[in-house]
Amino acid sequence: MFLPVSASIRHFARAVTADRLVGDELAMAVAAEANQKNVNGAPPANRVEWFRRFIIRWREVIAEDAAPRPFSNSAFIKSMGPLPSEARLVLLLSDVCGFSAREVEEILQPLSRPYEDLLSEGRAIVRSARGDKSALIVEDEPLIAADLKDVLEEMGVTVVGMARTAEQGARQALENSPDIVLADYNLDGQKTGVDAVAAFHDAHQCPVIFITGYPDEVLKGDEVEPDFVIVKPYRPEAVQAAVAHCLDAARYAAIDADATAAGDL
Amino acid sequence: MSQNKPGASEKRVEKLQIMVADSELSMIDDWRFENRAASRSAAIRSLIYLGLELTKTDPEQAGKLLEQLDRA
Repeated sequence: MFLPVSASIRHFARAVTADRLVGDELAMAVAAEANQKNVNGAPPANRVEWFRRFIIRWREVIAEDAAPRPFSNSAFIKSMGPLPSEARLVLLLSDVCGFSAREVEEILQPLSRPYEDLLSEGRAIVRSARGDKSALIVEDEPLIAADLKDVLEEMGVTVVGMARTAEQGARQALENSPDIVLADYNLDGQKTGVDAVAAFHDAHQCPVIFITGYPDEVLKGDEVEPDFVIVKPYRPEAVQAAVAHCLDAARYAAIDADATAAGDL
Repeated sequence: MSQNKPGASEKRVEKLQIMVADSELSMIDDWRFENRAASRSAAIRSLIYLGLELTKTDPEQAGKLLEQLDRA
């Protein structure tokens, strides 16, 4: 099951920037640039083509020598710095966006190294030690909660709380100050909804990853949206990739800078 | 998310908060759709650009408009 294309691109950009607002703005600015360039052409035929054009245009804007006009979309895009390294792009497209190997190769063509090498490099970054980061799980199904706990602990993240309702979750977030919150979007059959997202944001400024079987209902482009959405049934790699990107923004920036310097882009 | 989260310092962007009345926000959104701006934020950036450019190219007109705003 996939998110709608525009939501999917915003989701991807949120993972790249590890920030909901900045990610959405980046997605819209690059999409606008891509549309402008293709004003009389056919719209992208499918999801892969949307992503391919998005990344091509993003690379073009970054590569432009001329200083962009202040306040333009290009100026905003350039102010975000270079694209992530190829390994990280492969990881994001595979594990966060759910593209197949062939689709990732089509989106990023040509890859400088085999897909498998780049993916395992990306996954190694995700699994590597990440200090003492903590997470709160808000999930009413004990089996899923226990599974999420295992997935997080496997990547070295300490689970500081397991809540069964949104209210409990908001309270525990305040008490335990987690670095990240993973929450089921439909607790007890009721939609946790934007109210819970707002409550988490107000109570504790940390990224919230929602896990849902109904992504269309979650990412509608409303004012308040979850920072991140993982679609059920989830793969452990997807959870780990999303959590790692939310937690490791600074470290990724450093790694990407090294990779760019080494000519990895 | 707050600006002091990890990674925020790596980016050269700042988030600004502005307060506007509902009716003013509608004016910005109308301008955004008429001019096909990519986002509300992109629309506001364009309007700032227009204001700064007008101040440079026609300071007299810009001064008059500003006076009207201050007197309102």
